[in-house]
Amino acid sequence: MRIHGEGELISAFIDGELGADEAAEVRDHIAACASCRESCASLRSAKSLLARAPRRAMPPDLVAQLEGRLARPLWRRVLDSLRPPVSILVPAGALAAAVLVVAAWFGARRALPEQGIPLEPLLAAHSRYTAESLVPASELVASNYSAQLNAYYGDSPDQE
Amino acid sequence: MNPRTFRPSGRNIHGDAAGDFSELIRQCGEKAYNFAFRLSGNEQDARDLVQKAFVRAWEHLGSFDRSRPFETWLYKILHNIFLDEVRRYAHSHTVSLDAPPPREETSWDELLPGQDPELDSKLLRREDDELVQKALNTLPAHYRAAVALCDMEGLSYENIAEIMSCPVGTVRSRIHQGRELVRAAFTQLRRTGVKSQ
Repeated sequence: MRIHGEGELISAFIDGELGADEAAEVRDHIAACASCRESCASLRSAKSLLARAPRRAMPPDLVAQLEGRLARPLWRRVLDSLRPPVSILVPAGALAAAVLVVAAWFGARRALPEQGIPLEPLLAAHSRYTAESLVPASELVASNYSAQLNAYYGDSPDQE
Repeated sequence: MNPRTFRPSGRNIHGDAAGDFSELIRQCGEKAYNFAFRLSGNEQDARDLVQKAFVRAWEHLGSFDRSRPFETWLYKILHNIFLDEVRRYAHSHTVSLDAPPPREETSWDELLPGQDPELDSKLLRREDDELVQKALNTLPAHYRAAVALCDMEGLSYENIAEIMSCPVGTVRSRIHQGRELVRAAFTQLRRTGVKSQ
């Protein structure tokens, strides 16, 4: 078995995770090899550093908090677990408001003809007015839009 | 009640078992909290991890393998929750959880500043404990969990492999590299701290 430079083997040896034969081989090699002996000492000190770190005590209120939480009925705990965090609620609320505004705007647009206000003649009149302001009156030709407008309003605006 | 031999009754999981589970919280809570603190590096996240782990354990008590120790199962749940949180963080901060082992990026000669006699001192000073935690925080999640479970919780490689859902060989590699990294980071942090004072 190759041992020299195999740090994982030395770590496992320190942890007592090798079989008896493997452990004996590693022990013999470490005794004879200065570099692996140094590596072993370094790993031992790292393990010891971590092992000596004081244990963090569980805050006393956490136990009570947990017991209280587990005492709640299942449906309540499921509901709580489904409750989204504020970080999601704020943008979701803004998005919902935006969707509502857009929906209301489209709804209002669609509702106008149903309220009895004829949009087409108004648009035709607007087109005609625009055309008249750009083209001399002598060059204007009667259009279908004018006829449509007259049909809606009863008489021609030109007559006024 | 012994958390290693706890055998919940399937028929009254949310009935009489509530009292038993309460007792388990008191018995396993300390270990779970210490592990959670070493993983997360701060009290608030450790509290959240422990709470979520116990609640999940309680809700899935029916699927608990009664032939296994409860502690190992609880550690596994806690570790999975921690990894989920790390993945979520990594996703939003473009950090890879499965980053290549540090060994592939830097040689150990560069990482290890040499033997530090103070490191072998029997007593760990309070400020050193903070440095140990800071050094742990610099490790990739898998290495941090492996050394915390082995050197701080005293678990065997086999148990750690079960908790981390990986082969024993992987555990051995992570523990070894984790120790090397912790030692290097600790020495570096202490040196930087001394310089800044």
